[in-house]
Amino acid sequence: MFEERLRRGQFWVTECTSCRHTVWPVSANCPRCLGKAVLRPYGKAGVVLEISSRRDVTFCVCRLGDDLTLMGRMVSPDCGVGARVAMSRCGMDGGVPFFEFSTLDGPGDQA
Amino acid sequence: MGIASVGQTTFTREDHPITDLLLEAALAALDGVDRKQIDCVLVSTNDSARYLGAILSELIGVRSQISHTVESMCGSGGSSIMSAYSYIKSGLAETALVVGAERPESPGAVLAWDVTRGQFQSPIYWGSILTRSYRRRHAVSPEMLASVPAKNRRMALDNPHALCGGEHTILDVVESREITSDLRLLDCSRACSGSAALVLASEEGCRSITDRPVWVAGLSQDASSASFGGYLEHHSIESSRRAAAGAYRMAGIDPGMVDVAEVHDAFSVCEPMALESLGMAEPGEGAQLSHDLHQTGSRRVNPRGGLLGAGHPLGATGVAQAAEIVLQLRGEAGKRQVEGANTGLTHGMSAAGTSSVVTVMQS
Repeated sequence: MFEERLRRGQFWVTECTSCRHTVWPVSANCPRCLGKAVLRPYGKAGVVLEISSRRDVTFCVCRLGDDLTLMGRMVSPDCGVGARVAMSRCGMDGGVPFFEFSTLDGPGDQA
Repeated sequence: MGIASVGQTTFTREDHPITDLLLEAALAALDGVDRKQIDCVLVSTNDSARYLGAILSELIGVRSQISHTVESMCGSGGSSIMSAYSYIKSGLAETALVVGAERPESPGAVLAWDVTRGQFQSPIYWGSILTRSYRRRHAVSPEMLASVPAKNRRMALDNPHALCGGEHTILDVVESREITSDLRLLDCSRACSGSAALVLASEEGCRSITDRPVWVAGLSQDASSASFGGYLEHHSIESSRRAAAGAYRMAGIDPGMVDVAEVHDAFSVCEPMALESLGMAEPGEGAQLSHDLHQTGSRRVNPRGGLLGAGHPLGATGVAQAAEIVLQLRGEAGKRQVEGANTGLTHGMSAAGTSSVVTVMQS
């Protein structure tokens, strides 16, 4: 299960066994061809699409690979839109998934 | 098909049993209506209470052929109107009572299924992301966006059912308590309890109830996704654009014909984004339109105060929006009246704007 992998700090998402479409959020079937989808490890590198903050917590929307978008916490300081990032940590907290990102090579454009 | 009667409760932070809220608004809408005509009872809510359509039918002494709950998060009201329209148009029902209600601590504010939001489940996070993205894309200042809550909260002063009416300057808004780096307290609509109700019927049914029916000329819904991760752009609302196009096509009108609109301003930025999606402003010009409306005192957009001014009891909001447009098109909106309004529109959206409902009404 997605949550089980996440509890172990592993970011696995579903991929269609017929058309190879990445199914996100995870689901048993592919919304494109309705083929069976199975969990696979997913690359953790991506780019920041948007970013904001609340008190001392910075949160951002990131695109991982070509087709997966999600929101998580940015732990690197001074990060902006366009920054190349990687998911540095993920897991489950009280039944809720969490994702954390850090920059790979620079802050990107500042907001 | 049209709307023959409306009713609503005051929106308040006080908690009330959901059945009390439903009953109060239903009785207000049924004033002067022969209950024997009602053969469909739809309840719009995110409340966890069960079987509310049948319960409300029993409470008002109606033996309805169709009764159930419609849940679609913040846009439940628009969806319930669409369901009633469909039942009546198909002949499965002749006269429908639609009642929306919510309590302050509604479970409808959070979509737990959506793991793409990670640990940032509260609506303030998507509201903050949309605000930042819209401001960046169109170079809009916080002061320009602050016109939205200043305008809508001021207009709510003339709405006796509103929760958050008040005179606020632009400075008051931008200096109100920081919620996120992109949202201030006055930028955020407030959850509350409240209820609103409509009686919808065929043309013949409407004319048997009132000599001033308001006609539903077009309505459309679109869901671009359910997950926030399905958003393609964070500075526009694709689902609203598509829903508006469908509603205009059905009504045979263009956006320039809309005299008065109730749009879903859950956060300040949502109003200009909605105005652009609805074709009432060019892309990037929505904030300027809201600002101009504020400066001129125009009530063309969100005359009852919007969600920011009236409060946001999720399941009741879309129904209350429709009730306001009915009053406007009848010329019965009192101090809020937009003179000469013949065509009105409601816009609702759910789950960060992943889906939207637009309804066009005409006198």
